[in-house]
Amino acid sequence: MTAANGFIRGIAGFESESVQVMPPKVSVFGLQISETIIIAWIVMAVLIILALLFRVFTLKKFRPVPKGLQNVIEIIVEFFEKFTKSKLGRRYPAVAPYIFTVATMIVATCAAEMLGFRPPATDINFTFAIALMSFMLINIFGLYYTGFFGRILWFFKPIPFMLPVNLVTHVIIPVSLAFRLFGNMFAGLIVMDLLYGVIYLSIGLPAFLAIYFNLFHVGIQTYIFITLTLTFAEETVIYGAKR
Amino acid sequence: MSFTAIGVAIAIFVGAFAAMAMGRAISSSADSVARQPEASDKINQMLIIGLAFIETTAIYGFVIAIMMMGKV
Repeated sequence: MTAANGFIRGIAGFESESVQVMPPKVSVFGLQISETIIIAWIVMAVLIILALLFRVFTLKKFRPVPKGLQNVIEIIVEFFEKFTKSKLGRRYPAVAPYIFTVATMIVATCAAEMLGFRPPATDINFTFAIALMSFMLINIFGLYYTGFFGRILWFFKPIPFMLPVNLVTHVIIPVSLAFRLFGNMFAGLIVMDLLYGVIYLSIGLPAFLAIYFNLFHVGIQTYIFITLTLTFAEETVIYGAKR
Repeated sequence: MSFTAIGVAIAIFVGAFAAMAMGRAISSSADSVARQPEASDKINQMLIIGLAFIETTAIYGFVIAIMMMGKV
């Protein structure tokens, strides 16, 4: 439901349309697709077009001493590289672009909530997909740097008695990552939705709360998501790696 | 007598324990920053990660409450 929609319905009194856990589906070319997927694809198209424009027009004008837009881009890229390096040590080059992509995707898609659309992070499928990708990254990181048998032996360390504890902790990683992001975003969505349903609260106040829910909470949750991904990836190599 | 409402209330009540644990975590991190202000960056990082873990448990309760209200 859009913000304008809620405002007009709120003029008639206190009514709030129920926000469902599964987002409403629209039919596109005969298929039923959730509206959050469409919003995610639109945001992806905007980001890809921006990246292509930047690559074609601005990249060849880079100077050794940066100025202007190049400065901003370098600050952002260096922030993510330093962040990944501080957690992973010397093994950061292959993981830093993934972290940048995931962080940009979550922040960009949640910024769409300010335009009235339902952000894709309130869709459990979206967050679960990203959490599964991070889970695969953690496992492939461990497999690459410790080998196949090293990975299996990792579950038996520090003492073989810890095998069930390690297994359960490992399996719960994608579930906890997905539900943390989903729950926080969904709680923000419900609060904003209830706010728009009340007539005398829906003018002015949502603007202030939107800064809190759509920028601050998204930033914190993204930071926690990437920090936890890097922490779990780093844990897989602490018992001695092959390379 | 709606038992759904009682179940939802019990599921949300779990957040109280999360809040108590968060209070203790923040209090001890504030103490250690006061004791050694140079380590404030590391302590801040550790605090944020710890709060995320605690908050997840409260969020689990919230998600179950939403599912119980019939909105899945």
